[in-house]
Amino acid sequence: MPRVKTRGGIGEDILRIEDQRLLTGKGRYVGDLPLPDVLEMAVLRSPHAHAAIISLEDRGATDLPGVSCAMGGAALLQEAPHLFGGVQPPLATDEVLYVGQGVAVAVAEDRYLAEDALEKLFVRYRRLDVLADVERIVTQAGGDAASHDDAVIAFGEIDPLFAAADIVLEERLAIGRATAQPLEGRAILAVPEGEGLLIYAATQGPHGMRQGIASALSLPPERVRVVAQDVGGGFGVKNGTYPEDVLAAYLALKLQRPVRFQEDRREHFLSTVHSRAQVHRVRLAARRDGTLLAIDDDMLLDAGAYTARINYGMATAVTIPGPYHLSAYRCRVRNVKTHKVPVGPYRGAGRPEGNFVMERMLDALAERLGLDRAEVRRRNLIEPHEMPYDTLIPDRYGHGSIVYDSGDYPLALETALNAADLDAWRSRQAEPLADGRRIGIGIAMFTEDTGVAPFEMAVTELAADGRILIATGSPAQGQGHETSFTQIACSALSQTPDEIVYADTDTALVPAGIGTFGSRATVLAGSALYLACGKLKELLLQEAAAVLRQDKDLLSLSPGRVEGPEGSLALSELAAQAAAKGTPLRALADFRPEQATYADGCHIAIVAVDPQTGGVEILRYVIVDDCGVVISPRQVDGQIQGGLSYGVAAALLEELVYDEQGQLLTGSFMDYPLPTALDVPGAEIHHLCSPSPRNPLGVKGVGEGGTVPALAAVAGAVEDALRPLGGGMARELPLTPERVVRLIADAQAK
Amino acid sequence: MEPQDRVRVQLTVNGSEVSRLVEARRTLADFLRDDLGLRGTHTGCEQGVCGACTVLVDGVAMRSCLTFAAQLDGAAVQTVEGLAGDGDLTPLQEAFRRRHALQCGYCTPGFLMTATEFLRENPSPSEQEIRTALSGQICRCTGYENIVQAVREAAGTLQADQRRQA
Ligand code: FES
Ligand code: FES
Repeated sequence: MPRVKTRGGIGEDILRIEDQRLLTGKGRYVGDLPLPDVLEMAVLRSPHAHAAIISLEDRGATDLPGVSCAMGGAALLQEAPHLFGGVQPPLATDEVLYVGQGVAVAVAEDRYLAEDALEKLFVRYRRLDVLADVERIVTQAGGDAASHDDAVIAFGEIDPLFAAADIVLEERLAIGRATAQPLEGRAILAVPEGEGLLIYAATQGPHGMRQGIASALSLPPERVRVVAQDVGGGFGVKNGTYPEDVLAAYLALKLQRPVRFQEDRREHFLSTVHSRAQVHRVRLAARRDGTLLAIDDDMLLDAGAYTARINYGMATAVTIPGPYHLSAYRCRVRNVKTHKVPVGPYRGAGRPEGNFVMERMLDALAERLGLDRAEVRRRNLIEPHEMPYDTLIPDRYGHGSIVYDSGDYPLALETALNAADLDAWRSRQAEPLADGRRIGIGIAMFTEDTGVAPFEMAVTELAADGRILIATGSPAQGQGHETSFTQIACSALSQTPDEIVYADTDTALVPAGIGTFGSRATVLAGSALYLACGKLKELLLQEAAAVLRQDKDLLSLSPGRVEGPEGSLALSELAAQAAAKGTPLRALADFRPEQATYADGCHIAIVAVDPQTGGVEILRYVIVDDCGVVISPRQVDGQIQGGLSYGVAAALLEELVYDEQGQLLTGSFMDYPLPTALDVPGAEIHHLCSPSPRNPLGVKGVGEGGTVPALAAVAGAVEDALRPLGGGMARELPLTPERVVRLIADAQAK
Repeated sequence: MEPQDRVRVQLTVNGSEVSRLVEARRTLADFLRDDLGLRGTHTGCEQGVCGACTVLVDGVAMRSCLTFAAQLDGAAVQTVEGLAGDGDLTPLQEAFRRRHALQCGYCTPGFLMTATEFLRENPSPSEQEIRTALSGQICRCTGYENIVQAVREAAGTLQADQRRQA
């Protein structure tokens, strides 16, 4: 871990570098890139969840002025069969599997004209049976339901523990289908260049996209260059290669014109991956004193029409045990096929759901035993002296078991309890507020694997002007890497931010990369960058020693210079000399940790619930977060506060509701309520610091920690508020006003 | 009139006179972005809900995704590009930067325009008034707290400025 303090370095609370351009309308999002001859693409989408395509008729689409091309899936298959080798075809040819699946494409001089062309394409469908409800599908199929990929994560002997347990609880818990909705939709601009393509993309993983597009188009990867500049939010969904990416890339090559696809909001709802969508049948075994023994979970995931690129149900499975001792564990994951939009990761990617399951079951245990919710947790927490702690949970990549690296979970709990001033709130719970609302308190703790493997690379280079260029494979979609990565470089190279140049993430600059998701960018790309800076420092000192004729070991770096006891040298001079020699001073590092690193923390939510209307207001929200060493303090808090809004939304607001015909009923911002400034409270954030021993910076990821425990904390608080009125357990999210009111009505009906 | 028919509009945008022939169906957002190259105005939903596309028309915040350019003959439009001179930031923009009120920045122009109008109408707002005023704007990144604090801080700065000038 770096110890020397540098202005603008690690841990300094500096203003963000990217803000100047973003505040003045000078961002460079894909839709903003001015190209004179760019064509815009639009996609015709299926109105049916499951249907055979009988015919597609062009009644003049291609004859419209300004339209370069309009074609359906069957025509595309004939023209370019090689595009159809992936999991999902770029366009449906003879059968559609969800409302929103593309059936035809048009490109034209602008989007208006492209949509005009689509209006002249007529498709005849024959409707087929629709699979919509996962529990019904599994019941009807008697265990043979078609599923994408299933797995069991388990350790220890489950059955004897359940047989001998004092307490066995069993519940059905469910988390609704939801989707990330970054404010900028998906966007790609494919520009033909030489024999290949230059692609500007709103993507979390440029290298993965390069691979995806190259293999779809049967091009060698080096002929595809992907660049990510400013990206308007990602949250998990702007990753991988979507059908529209393949279409835009193919059509740009075919027409030899730049082609842009900019998704609109309606399309985003109907074609960008959905997430969450889990139903759990979970059993908990415990002793009378509250000691947890075993958890047995059977998870059904409503996986949609095509196999997910990332099976986030597995992330749920490894998250459920959390910060607690467990003697045995089993989780069966079934990704059930439905006629809906395919699923994929969404902020937390399965972890919030897993956390919800465990924390709700602990609350149920507390309720059963008449114990305080904090006390049940306290009795089961892993202690700091047990670190590194082998959980025995099989690593889902098959590398042995998950070992937590560091953390003080009891301290996280006590810090949160003290900060929240619970006694004062508890004393207000006995009576309703003057307006009839009831106060509830929810507690949730979490551990989260962050910085998941396998690797990330970084490049550093002394630029011609003497500044230092830094580049990684992990672009930002709001996380502010331009600032935080600059801070890392400042510390490693004793520079100030003015001497650092942050490069757009570009597959031409960095040989390989994975991307920004799973709270991994700072852990992996940040560490790779730190190592690359270390290598560059060696190079710079070595070269400077030769020029200055001084002992390298006596030289050191300072902003813009190399200093020695007998004279110094500007980095710009060193750059000029390197240029003259034709040997660039450049370093590449590849960081490959053995295991993820484990962040943890505790959330406490205090809410007021109106038993009449079901309305929930969050009065106070306390977060204790341990993400190890903090690089950019304001951005860490920003991630936590932003992450919290996702947890609150999952707990109270967001749900993609489908009817039995597979029609999405909540397909716009009018009926899919995103949280506003009136819904999300300002959290009180406290930090603990247990540095990770698994990377040179001591960091852990923080992008999802604000989300993960918030579902359970808020749900637990709502339930707590209604207990004095005879309310039952909060088992299903989101807790819409209707579901809140039903907590009382249903419990009383029993 | 057909949606594709062209209409002549003359208006001022950020103080400059503009005269263009536009399709009747062309939204103000597309007109600003594609015809005038003012790409600071973003669209997040094109359904009038998210507020990302907000611009000021004759000083009043309007959703440029739901407004046709052809409706604006004679109007004065202000966009994020017109908030401050080159290189400068307004006190509101400064406060957004100081308070870390933006992450991806995609929603930011809309928030800035809405808050600019709001602070002119209500120079010393309470936190609740700020939250209500901003509740028609969606931000997916920040969780709003820092935006609310930035608007508060800007209100304070503006008031201090006014006091100094008085
Ligand atoms: S784009 Fe206009 S309100 Fe969303
Ligand atoms: S900063 Fe990304 S949407 Fe607001």
